[in-house]
Amino acid sequence: MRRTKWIWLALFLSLSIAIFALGCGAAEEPPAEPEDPEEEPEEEPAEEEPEEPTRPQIVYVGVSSEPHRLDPRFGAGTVAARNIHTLVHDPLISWDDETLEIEYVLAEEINIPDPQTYEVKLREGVLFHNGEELTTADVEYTYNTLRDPDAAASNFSHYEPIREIEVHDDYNLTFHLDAPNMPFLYRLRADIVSKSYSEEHATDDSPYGDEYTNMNPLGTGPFKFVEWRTGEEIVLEAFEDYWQGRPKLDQVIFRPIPDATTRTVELQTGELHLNEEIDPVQVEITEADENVVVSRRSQMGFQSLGIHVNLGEPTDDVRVRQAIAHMMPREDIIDYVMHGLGVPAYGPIPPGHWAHEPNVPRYEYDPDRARELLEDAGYGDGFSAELYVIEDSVRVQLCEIIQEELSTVGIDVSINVLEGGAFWDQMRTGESQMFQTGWNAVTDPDDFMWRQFHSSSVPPHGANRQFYQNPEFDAVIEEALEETDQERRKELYSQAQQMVVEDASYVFIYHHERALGVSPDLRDFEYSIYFCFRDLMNAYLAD
Amino acid sequence: MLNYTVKRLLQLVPVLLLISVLVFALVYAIPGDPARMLAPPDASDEEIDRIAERLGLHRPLPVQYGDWFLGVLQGDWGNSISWGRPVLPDLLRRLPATLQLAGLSVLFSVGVAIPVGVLSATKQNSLIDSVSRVGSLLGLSMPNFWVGMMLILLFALQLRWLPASGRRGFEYLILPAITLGTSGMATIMRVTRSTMLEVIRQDYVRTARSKGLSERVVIYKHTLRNALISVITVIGLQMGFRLGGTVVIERVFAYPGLGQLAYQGMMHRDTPMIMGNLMLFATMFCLINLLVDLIYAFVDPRIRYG
Amino acid sequence: MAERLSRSDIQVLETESVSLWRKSFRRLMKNRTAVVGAALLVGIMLLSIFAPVVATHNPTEQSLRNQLRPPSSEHYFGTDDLGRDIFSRVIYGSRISLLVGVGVMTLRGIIGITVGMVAGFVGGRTDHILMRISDAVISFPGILLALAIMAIWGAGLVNVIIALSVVGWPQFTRLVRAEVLSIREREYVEAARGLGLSDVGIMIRHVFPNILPLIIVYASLTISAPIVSEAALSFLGLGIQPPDVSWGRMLSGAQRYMRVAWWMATIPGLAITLTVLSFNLLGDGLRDALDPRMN
Repeated sequence: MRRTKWIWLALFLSLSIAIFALGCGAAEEPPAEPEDPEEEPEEEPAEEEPEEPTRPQIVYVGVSSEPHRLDPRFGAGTVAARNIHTLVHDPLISWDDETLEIEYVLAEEINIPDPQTYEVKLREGVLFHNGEELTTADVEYTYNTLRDPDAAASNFSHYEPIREIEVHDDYNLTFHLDAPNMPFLYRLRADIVSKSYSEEHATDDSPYGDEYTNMNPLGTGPFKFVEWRTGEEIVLEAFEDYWQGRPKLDQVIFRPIPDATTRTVELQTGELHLNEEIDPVQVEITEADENVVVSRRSQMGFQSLGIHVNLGEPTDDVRVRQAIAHMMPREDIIDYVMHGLGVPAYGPIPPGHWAHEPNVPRYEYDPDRARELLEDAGYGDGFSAELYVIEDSVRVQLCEIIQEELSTVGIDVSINVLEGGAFWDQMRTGESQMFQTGWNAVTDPDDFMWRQFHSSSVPPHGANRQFYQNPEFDAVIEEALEETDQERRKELYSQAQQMVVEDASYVFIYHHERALGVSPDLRDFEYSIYFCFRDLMNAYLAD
Repeated sequence: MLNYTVKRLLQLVPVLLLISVLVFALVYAIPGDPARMLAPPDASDEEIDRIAERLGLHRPLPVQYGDWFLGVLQGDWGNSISWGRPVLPDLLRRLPATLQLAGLSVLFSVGVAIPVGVLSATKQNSLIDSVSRVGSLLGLSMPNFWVGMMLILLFALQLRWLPASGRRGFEYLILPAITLGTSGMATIMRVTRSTMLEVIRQDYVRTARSKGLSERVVIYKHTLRNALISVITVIGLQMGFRLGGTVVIERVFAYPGLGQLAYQGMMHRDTPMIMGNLMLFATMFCLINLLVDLIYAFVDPRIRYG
Repeated sequence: MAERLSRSDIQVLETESVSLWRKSFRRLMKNRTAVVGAALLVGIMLLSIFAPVVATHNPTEQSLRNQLRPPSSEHYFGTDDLGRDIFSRVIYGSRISLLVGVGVMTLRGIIGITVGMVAGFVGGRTDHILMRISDAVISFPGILLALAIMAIWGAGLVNVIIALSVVGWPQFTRLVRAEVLSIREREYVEAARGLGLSDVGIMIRHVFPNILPLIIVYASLTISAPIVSEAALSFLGLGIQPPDVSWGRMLSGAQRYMRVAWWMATIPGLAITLTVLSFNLLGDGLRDALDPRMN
């Protein structure tokens, strides 16, 4: 009796081990190979590139977080999703990171006869990955989704100014705006999706087909979507009929690796060719590794400390806010927190941007001046304050430094580290005395101004969480929004920057840079702040 | 036996129901609007409200719960808020990954702990005994993310023997499984050792020994079998802890299992995802414990269940 | 498993209930590892009580220019990312880490023992419902539940203690209930009931003292878990708030620096390990002492 029991148990155990081993076996299948052997491109070297290298042209990209929605209409709010969108899709236009000069992509030409009219002529013969040709119907459909309030697409506010989209024929259409809106040209960067493909997958629950397209995106871009194994990898494959010519790479595989140390180790051991972001702390040791090239890119944004101007004493006093600004040890933060990845910020617009105004009041680190200002304001003995920050090691570090610095002039700061959802809830209340936030990847100066500082942007309407309300300032940026003369615009934004800095509702800390890890084998690749890895369409792996 | 199994399975139903209500209430108490997580940081409240509306987040809670519950009964576990697609296929796709990780970590713990425990017991109060007892406690005492990162730095970066992250073959499981297994080892070893000591002193072992059987045969044939029963119980009890441990470990090793999905769901207030995930975790835990009890009843003649 | 072992514990306890404590103490003192564990713990507690005397620096004072200095005669354990003295931080950090351990165990114990006693003593439907609830709590990953609770209430010491207490109590309940079930029908309880003592009175006067040794052993063996869990919570982003110092927070802050400043992660890691080890050594000894049948 006992014996048989043991036989049963042994059977059970060995069976479970066998199942277990089988499961592991299944995981061992090489995932990197293209599914269809006919499309195995290494077999036949491309004709136009006789010196085409022989090694498998598969690039692995390590990213910090996994995208959620691969349909660009719904996922464009996050970098994680843009990483994929910008390779699978094409926009009408793009721009040069440095000069911000517009480059035509799917648009062959754009005419702006008056500031409210944008006439777009589409490139002919552009194919979607399913072989259908791109027409104005697709462009119209894409932009109509984006501006449909019920669609709840990302960046709805960018497309709100569109009054009408007028389609002339298969290759010509016109955007009519409600009012002149200078940043609008940059808004034409939305990635174009296929109308027929989306409609084919539309259901009652998902009238835009996004329940399907979020998992199976289809565009006209240089790479087509192959497979998404969540948590593991997203596999993209060269699009043979890409209108700019087939990319040299056969596959691009994105691997989400949340831990920064693990991601960097993977790059150093050659498991990755690209690491989206190297932790500032590890930049130095990574640079010392000859198997890695670290490239730094300005993020075209800023990190700041927001101070509520309308929440009663003491932060309603501009002298108090200026005193706080004088206690910001910008250089130290860049040296010891960012480890060199950034430059001090005195205003919102980073140096290098055409609208950057260097002549703003500079609140250099100066405890004596800060004490004086506090004395004047009647807070010589200091006060206590609340500071909110989202859970993130660099940001919390930053706030700990601010806390320590402010304590030397008697300001007793308590830091509230909030996890994502709770933080944004707190921001929504519009009652946060001080908070740490930052902005990224901005093109038109209006992006730096309207949503953060215009009176109408106070919660719940925008991101003016410090309740900065200055009619004079409003008038300046309202004029600038519609001003077509570039010189005059620059002048207006200079004024606007001076006012924002003077009133110190934001203390600007630094303009940050991103350190990107690249394998030296990867050639002809340049990372773009907004278009991310799009340049992989030109890159290749050297032997 | 069959009756007992059926009875135990039926008992699971109210437990799982209770869990679903608790989790649902809990997730809704978490501040932060899931719609907020989908919108860009400068989005206005109007935009967020529209997203919430589209996702059906404006309906009263009991309605949302009822909706979810009816769906589950029909095999539809709802659509993830952040991913915008059905939850169930994703969960099922990741289930094997987590089971493999948890399973291999159990094998690792057992594979190390039982021999060491046996050795410890047979050489009681020797140096080996003390070293292994303290050693296993060390495993229990070290925070597992720390262990994981040390292993990555040593085996992936320095020695380049094993991959640091992902899941593309058996070798990818080794470091995460060791990390997860380290903390469970101490208890298993301890139980092995004390059960062995207990059994070694019992009469039948003494009898067996006096009959002239060699020491090794005595140990393995009699005592180990008894120790195994306790070990199986401990493994069952540890399962909840182990499954929870995957949340941290999977993050360190970028391992595509349920733990990471649960964490992401939590961070995005993705109710259907969290619900599905925790229900799956809870079901697994309950089933594993049921299995343990069954094995227990099976191998231990003293226990009879009505 | 625990059920059967402990049932016999109780038999032993009943026969020798008076002299047991003294005997146990004597046995404990003979156990070398337990004495080592106890001595280490006393040492750690003294350090945390006299932290202001022992620490060489202010644990929160920053000095960015001194960041990431390796151990030296000025900074025994080096400095961290903000140039704070790690030696002083570890000393002060012991306060919060021990508080987390003791606080969580106490709360878990109170919830778990109460529920277990009520379930075991009242029985019937109450028992059924209480046990289903504890089954529900026990059967999902505690760390996720704790995370959710931290997300609701926000980071901070008190919330960490509450969140970790809410998840671990059913183990106590199971332990206690099993004991109560076996004690409930015993003669002296019957007798007490006959004398007109209320249920609550019986539980407090007669049942509780009987299960106490078991609880002490279990608590001492598991008190270290919350200390490690706090580190995991901090790692996942929700733990102790600055400027409070805990070992878990130090460790999770050091995570990014593991490759450039080994001491930052190693020191608090060792502190946790040493403390947990001492608790476990003591717990082992206590078990041996209170449970004479096992060695």
